[in-house]
Amino acid sequence: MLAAGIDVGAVSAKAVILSNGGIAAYSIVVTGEEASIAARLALDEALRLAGITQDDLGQIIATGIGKASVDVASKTKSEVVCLGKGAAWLTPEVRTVIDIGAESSKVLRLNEKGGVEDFASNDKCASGTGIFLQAAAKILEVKLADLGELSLAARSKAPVSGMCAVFAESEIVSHIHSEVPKGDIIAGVHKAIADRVSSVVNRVGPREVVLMCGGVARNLGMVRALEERLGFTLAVPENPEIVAALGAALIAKEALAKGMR
Amino acid sequence: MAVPNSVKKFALETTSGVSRLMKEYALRARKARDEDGAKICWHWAVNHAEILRAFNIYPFMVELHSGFLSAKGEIVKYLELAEGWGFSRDACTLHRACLGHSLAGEEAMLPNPDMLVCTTSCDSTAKALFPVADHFKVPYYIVDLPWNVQAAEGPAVQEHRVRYYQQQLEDLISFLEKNTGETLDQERLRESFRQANRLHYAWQDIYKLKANSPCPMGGKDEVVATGVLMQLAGDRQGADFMERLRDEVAERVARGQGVIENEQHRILWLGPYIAYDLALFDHFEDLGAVVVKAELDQMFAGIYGGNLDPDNPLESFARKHISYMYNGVYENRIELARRVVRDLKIDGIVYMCAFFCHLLGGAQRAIKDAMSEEFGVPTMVIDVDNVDPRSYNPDMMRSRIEDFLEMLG
Repeated sequence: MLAAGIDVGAVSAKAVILSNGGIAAYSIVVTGEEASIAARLALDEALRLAGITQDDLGQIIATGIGKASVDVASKTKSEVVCLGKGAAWLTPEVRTVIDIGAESSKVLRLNEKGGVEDFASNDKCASGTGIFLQAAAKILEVKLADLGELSLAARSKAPVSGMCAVFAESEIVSHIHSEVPKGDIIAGVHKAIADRVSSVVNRVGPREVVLMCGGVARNLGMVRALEERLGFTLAVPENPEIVAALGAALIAKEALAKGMR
Repeated sequence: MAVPNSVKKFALETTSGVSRLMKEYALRARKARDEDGAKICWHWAVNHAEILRAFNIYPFMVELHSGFLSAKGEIVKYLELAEGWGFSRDACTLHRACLGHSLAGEEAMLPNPDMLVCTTSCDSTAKALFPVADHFKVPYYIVDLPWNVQAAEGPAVQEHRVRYYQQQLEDLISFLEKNTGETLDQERLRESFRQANRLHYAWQDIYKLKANSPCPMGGKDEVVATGVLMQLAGDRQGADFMERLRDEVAERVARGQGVIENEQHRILWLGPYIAYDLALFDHFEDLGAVVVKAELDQMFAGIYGGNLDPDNPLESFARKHISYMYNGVYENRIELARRVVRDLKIDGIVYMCAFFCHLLGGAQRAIKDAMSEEFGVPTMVIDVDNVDPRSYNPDMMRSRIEDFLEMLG
């Protein structure tokens, strides 16, 4: 039997299907207004890509902020535990995980077995999260996917407040009016997020190897800004958005192996 | 972790009477003011209720009232009134709510004051209350509480600090005599201290009973009972209440009755509470965990001492105030946490940092490190306001608690 994990975040739902050979398929869909529908759509898409039906799944575990609304799941598991599990499977030597999602950033410290020893999060402020990048991209009229490349070409970093994303938006507008190059503004935004996230990282006391995941890890400029701020290199998995869903699927697979449904 | 709704919870019966107790106290105060010329004194933590009751004064703890308003879902209009008046949104929410309530002109559970008394126990209270004094045009007295720096200077509260604070208390008494027209009645002071001790002894007994597994009293009951410590120290009805509560908790222990069946985790809560989401304690219990102890009560009734001596009132009161755990170096708080973790078999700590409180957040890293290194007990730090719900995401908070409890195993 196969197992699946579904991670319902604030902006997207992710589904991962595991076979004995590893990841059979995965999908990412925008959450929209109904988390339960997004979870269903994500699972259906992953099932389609894997070429199987839901009857082939022996266990489905949900995680993420919207996990309680996933009615196809037989169990739920905390996001932190799933992130740790997924990260340790992808990179066995990982000891610290930095997850920057749409509306929160989390940092986990793992033990040698991938168990979570400690974690801290920034849930109170958008200025350490992906929503801030989305807002900046909109104001600057650039694609979210282009932020990284533009910032890496920057000559300097325009000062942007790390205290408040809403306040920072007005600073960005001021920079636009002052004809500051877009790349420099984006580099400043990345630095502001890196400053905010680094305090969360330091709360748990990071140990290498450090893995960065979550949708924001797709932004290479953000990864570099965080590396510069923290003073060490970050490993980024091929599909950084699906780490928690992968962890949920791994836990589902373990439950299957133990004969639990 | 699935969140079952089927976990059976056993709340205490005695605490369900706290709301009535508080209402009756407010009614008593208003009646005494209207018919007997009693004075109403608003005061702030750490407070002097036991001394105020030696006069014909009814003390009201204003932070507690802000907590009531928040728990009832009514605080935002008062915060907005204060903000509209020009009180900074970056200032303490408790003070903001107090000013807003003053501007609203409503009495109900908090009769208008004839005088204000506070200490310098936190960095902003004293100045934040000048607008309140101006609004009511009432006398305002600030008692200077010296820091307890015992960890740096030795094992005991320094005697010169005790003597200094005793003098402060004598000056407070002069202020009270002047503004009531009374002379301090020593026997009335002794009686107030005796009633305060009854309250404290019962609370200390409850603390010891909590060492039992399963824990007989949960977080919500503790928070509600702490309100009695804040408001009714020195009052006979407050002491009666706490003894009834102690007896009910003891009965539970005798029966082996816990807050929940199958208790898996025992949590210590540091810092203030999320007053507008007391249901959060239920969420812990849904997940098999009990918030066994919170530390905020230690501003009012020490679990390891801090009792008053009716025959040596001012010195004992000075020692109690100086040695409370938020006053001075944070080693005091670490030592308190250390003892509670050991006594109550705690396996996880939640440390709440209130957004606008500059008093309570500073020790978070030190306590977290100490508890991890000495006991292997992890701490989750949460950043949230204690009475203002406007920046709060209850789903996110529950998700973090689930994360934490799953991490505990």
